[in-house]
Amino acid sequence: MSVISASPLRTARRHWTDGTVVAAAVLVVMLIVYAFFALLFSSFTIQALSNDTAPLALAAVGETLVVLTGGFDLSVGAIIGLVNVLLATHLTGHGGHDVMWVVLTVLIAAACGLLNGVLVAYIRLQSIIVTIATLFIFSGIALDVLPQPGGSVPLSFTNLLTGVTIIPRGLILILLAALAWLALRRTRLGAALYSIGGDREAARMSGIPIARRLLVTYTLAGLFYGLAGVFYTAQTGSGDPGTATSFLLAPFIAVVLGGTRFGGGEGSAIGSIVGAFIVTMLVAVIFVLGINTFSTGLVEGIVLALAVLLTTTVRRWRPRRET
Amino acid sequence: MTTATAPTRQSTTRPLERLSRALRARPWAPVWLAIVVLWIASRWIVDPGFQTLDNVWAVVTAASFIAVAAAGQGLVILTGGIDLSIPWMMTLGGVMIAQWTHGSNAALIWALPALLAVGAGLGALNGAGVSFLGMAPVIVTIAMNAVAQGIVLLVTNGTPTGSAPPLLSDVMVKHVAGIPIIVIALVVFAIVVGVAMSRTTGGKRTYAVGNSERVARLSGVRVPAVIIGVYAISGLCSVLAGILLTASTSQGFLGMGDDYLLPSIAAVVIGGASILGGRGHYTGAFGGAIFLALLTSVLTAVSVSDATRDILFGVVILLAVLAARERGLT
Amino acid sequence: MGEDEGGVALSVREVVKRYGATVALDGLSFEISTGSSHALIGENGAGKSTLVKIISGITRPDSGEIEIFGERVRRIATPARAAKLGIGTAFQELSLVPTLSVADNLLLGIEPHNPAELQRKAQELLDACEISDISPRWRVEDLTLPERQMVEIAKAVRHEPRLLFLDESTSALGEGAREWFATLLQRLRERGTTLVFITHRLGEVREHCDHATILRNGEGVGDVAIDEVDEGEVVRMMIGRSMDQAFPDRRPATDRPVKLSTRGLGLHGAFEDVDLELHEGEILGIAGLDGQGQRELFLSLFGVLPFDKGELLIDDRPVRVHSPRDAIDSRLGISLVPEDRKAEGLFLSLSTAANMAIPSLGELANHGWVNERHVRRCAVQTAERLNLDPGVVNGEVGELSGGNQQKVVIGKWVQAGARFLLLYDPTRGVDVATKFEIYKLIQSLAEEGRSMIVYSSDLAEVVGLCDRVLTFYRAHLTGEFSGDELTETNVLSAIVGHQQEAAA
Repeated sequence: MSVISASPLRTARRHWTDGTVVAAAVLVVMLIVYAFFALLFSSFTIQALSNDTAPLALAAVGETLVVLTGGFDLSVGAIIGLVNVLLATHLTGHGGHDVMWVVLTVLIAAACGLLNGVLVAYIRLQSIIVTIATLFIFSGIALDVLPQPGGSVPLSFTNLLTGVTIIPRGLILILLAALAWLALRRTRLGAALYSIGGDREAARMSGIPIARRLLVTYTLAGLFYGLAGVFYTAQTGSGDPGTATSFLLAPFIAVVLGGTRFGGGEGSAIGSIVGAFIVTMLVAVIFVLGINTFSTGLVEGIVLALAVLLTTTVRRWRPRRET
Repeated sequence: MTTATAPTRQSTTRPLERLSRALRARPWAPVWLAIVVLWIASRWIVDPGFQTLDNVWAVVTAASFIAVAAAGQGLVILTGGIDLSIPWMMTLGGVMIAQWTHGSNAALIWALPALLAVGAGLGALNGAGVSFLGMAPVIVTIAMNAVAQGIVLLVTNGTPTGSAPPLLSDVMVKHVAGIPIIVIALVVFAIVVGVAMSRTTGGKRTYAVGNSERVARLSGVRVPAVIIGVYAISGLCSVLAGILLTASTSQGFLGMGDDYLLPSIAAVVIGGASILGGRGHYTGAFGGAIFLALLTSVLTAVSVSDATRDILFGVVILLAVLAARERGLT
Repeated sequence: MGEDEGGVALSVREVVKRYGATVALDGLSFEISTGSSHALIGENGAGKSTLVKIISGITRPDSGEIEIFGERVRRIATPARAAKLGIGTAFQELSLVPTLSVADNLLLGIEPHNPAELQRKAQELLDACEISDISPRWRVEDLTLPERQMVEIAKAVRHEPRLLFLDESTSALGEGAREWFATLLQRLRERGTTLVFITHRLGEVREHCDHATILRNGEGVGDVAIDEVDEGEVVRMMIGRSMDQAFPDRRPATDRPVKLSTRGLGLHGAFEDVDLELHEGEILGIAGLDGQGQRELFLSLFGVLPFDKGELLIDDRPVRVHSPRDAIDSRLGISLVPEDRKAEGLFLSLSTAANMAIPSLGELANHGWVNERHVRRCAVQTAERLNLDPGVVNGEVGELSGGNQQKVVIGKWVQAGARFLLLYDPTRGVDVATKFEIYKLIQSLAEEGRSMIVYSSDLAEVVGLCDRVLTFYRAHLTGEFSGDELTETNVLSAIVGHQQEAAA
């Protein structure tokens, strides 16, 4: 009865039902549509696309870690906002001083993630509630640092991060994040993410130190939000305590477009990066197609729903007994 | 203290245990206790002059937007879902009521029911996405938020016009028998929602679905109908909250609902509901909304900055869930 | 043979564990000698699972002492520590993550960094356990229940434990993997592994074990050598009193009218050509090995998996059952007491009254309005009929014992006026004393004219309880037994496919 060897057809089907592959296919279609209507890709559009995507992609990578464990982190925008206002009020253009502040803000972001982690892992509160609460706290602190939009960062800082070294540096950063994810995937923590999200009780019985792993997960997520905040600040060049709102829901869109399952256990940060590109491309595609800009939201919502429907439907075709 | 009756088995249990048992049965009670304590304490936090009847009305009026949105959010959370489409559904209600009526009382007769129907319809689509397509509530409602945003932008071309009809504005400011109309209306609303949750088949079935969709289905409950129902009610409540918001500001503006998503969830949770579904009651969520409004009002009275207020909000939410955890509810 | 090697593998002394007000282990003490096959027997709630969790490093005891191969440990802090001490555990609730592959699961928590290495090690482990039909690449969620249990056992021996706990492993393995299991046990024993069976099935204790410790209410009430005791005595120790009779008297076969019948019923990939007739007031048994299609048949009759061939007749009229709602419909009155009581039968955090009311809300309500007192009154009436303390109707169902929970599941259908009850393994995880009550309840419901179809994984139960038994083998009904022909031996040979032709 047992047919253990996989037929090529089944192997192909396995790949095609993978969320990341579906997301990549969607992205390719969008790139083709865009290229067709915009006639060509200039190096400028690639740079703009990378820079627009980088903060969202980094945030989405962090969010993916949390979602894989079955959690839900709503504080991502608030942490990015906090980093944003801190940098906008403290960067001076002096190399050493600025580097210290960038490192410091990323560490603060990681500490914010650590706080989430303690509350979720050790106090055992629901992640969604914890992160709504810390969202208020972090954005309150941001509001205290910078009550009104304003502040600015040195142009050199902006140029450093958003410039081009053969390929756009934003893209390099995204690729580094992807590499970091691939490395993480091979560690015990990487394996633990999936097992905690897949079945927490089973993971516990298998000897996985759940609290410790969750703590690291949320802290790492905070670190990624911090990096997202740094890049976002470089890109916008100023501070805005209201940043939280614009990053409240977008990372989830990227994560879900990338095929990561809410509730945990399945997915990949690579998919989320692709998802972030889709979100950015969508706006560009709507623009080149000449659709009324006021209907952007409408189109976005519908495309999001369709894309999710596509990944979930396709997931159902996953051949049984093949992984 | 006389011992008129022999001690029963119940009364021999330790008082702490009895308290925890009593609270377990009434998870909405602590928030009301907190409201009373904060109100009494406002005498010292602010000054005795804060404790006027007018201030009571002001707090309830300020709570009305969150309270209405939290009714729908609470029902959705009760089924184990979440409604993230509240921001733009509220904006849709607020902007469209001004746009359609242009300050005319007569137009209200058709505009109000039409808008509520639109809200319920879009909400029902959320529910259909969740129940028929099996999509995660988070995703469906984020998508619906974007769709609602698109509809508002398309219809208004980016600049909302018109104003609230006087009749609508009256609701927020006029008094009947010394009580503001909005306060009376809100209390009636709360009673209707509360009674519907505990005393109707729909309410009972909602708890059943929230407890376990699978068991509900195997017990003959039409699960999709319940899911679509709660999301439709949430859509309707969001639009209604937006309309009330416009009634108080007299004009709608883009993004007017942005500040209400998180408080709507916070009110439900502070009110003792479980974010996982199956537990909670509007008595709690309504109290949660009043508490948030009272806290804001007290903090404003002592000129605490918005920053500090936000931080306090966060701490309050954490304390509420910590307290619930101590009672073994999460 | 165990005693000859000498030494004590596990010694538990005065172990206490409380969960709030409930005492799970109340000063439990016992010893297991090295190389023996030891059984821990007890009813549900006797403390067996708590003990397993303590030994496996998942739960910490409040007090007491544990000694493992002579090494004294105050408590075993983590599962990793348990593994170091030479303890392996195959858990009843399975420690497998459904979304991960078999390989990921086998090495969960100790996975090598290299994916190829992971596959290789997993394959080695499967080979060592002689599991040939499962690929390490398959996802656990795609496996059948017996296959998962096999993987769980393979996982439990990954550290080559000296002391292996098998928590109710055989009930999930089913009859099909019996031989595999016996061979594996033999090999483990030869290697000198001390085996501990946690079970409530006395039959397999006799088959596999040489010694047994009997637990009751968190205490050890006896240590026995299996050869020297009879089952009655063990049962008496388990429940603290003797039980004269395991089953109520069987009633004579009836010639009452057929109320429910099927003609050529089939569901693609699950079962085919099912023709059965169910008489008024009859208790019809279904017997079969795991995964022969009987589960799907039950789900089909209840509308969860609508059948795609043949027809279902009730009172001689063909009916449509496309959803549980159709089935429950008062004209049909079909109801299901499902396999997994907690996940499929009960709203654990709702009250008993609410649980009983949900299926019959339509009748209880007046134009959509529900009268709380009426609901409670009905629940009290139902509870009284089920011999259930009416005081429980206001409390949460999750706080009841397994047996009482099962009564609530049956009760909600009785209250909804069910004419047909499909009971799928109704006494699984129910303690011995309540089992008997459930049998009596099933009989009294039958005497009221309700018709039952009962499947049970326990052959003795099907044979003892039912008026007539149909056997399932490879998606087909293969035999029918009643009267004197209805014996365990006959039914067993039919469900393993021995006399397929003869019986048909």
